[in-house]
Amino acid sequence: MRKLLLIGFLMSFTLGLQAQNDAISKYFNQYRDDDRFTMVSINQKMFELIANLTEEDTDDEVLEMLSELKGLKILMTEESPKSFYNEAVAKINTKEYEELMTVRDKDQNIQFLVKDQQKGKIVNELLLLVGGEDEFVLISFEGKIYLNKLSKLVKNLDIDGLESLEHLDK
Amino acid sequence: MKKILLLIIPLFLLTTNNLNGQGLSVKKFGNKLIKEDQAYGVRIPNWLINNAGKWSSIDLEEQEKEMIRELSKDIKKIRIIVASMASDQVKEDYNSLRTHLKSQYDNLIEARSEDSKLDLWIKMKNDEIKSLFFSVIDDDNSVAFFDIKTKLTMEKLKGMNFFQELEAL
Repeated sequence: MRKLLLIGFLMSFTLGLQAQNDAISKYFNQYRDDDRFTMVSINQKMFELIANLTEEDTDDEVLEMLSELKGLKILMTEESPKSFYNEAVAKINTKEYEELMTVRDKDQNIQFLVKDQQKGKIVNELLLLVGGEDEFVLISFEGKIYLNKLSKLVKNLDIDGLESLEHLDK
Repeated sequence: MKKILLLIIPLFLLTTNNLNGQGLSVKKFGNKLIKEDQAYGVRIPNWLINNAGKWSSIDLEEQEKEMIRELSKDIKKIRIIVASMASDQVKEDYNSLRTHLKSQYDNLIEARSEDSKLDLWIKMKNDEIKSLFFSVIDDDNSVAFFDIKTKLTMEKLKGMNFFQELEAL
């Protein structure tokens, strides 16, 4: 009986963890097949492979971060970017996230949000929202993320849409 | 404890059998796709890939020739199918294929831009890449499909000269 209770507890814990990501997953799934959006999803296995194939003299923390990234999701659109940005901000429960940084100018807003911050250096999720006249971008990084190494990693990955993350350097 | 095991084992076996039987396999999907009116396909067996590695076309750069030579030893076969404006059945089959891939492969990358969708899947056994599957499907049901069977290990790939040169760039 105790074993069954333990299994039940572990299962509910796993379901609980999944529910935390529901808001982003729901928003992402809502538009992943929408023609107006460009969607990219890179999964954990890909990061593991990159980490395996990366040069041995690469920074240990960058390698560790690569192997511990669970996923990268990108949604981008140039159609009605402001309304999609407002919709994302309204739908995503930003109370779950701690605001890391906001860059605001006359053309666009960039919001960096993080979840489960550990001493300000490592986060379990980094959410980036960009909304402006020209485009709306949503980027979600999941895994063990070293904020101080992220901009270096982003430069190495060279993926369109991630340029905003280089702001973390400043 | 015995009762729990007796309950769990058949349940596990049932689930595993179901997973294996789910969806269209890559081979079956390819066999259906090639029957479409405007479909063209090619299967390249291992002996031909090996010879291609030895011939290495004169037009190629030295680094590309090196890459073909090194990779050709560990590629077992390649199947490529391109179908334009296929029937609507293709989309259903593609969804069924995805169900199969989800149970047998790891999804590396999924991307969509305007009317095209790209998928890259990998099947590994320990350090060995058993299979790589790459597909692009358009909204007008045009499909490009690449199925590559290999015996390439990550260690071998890492040690290949062309790969080290690429990394150095």
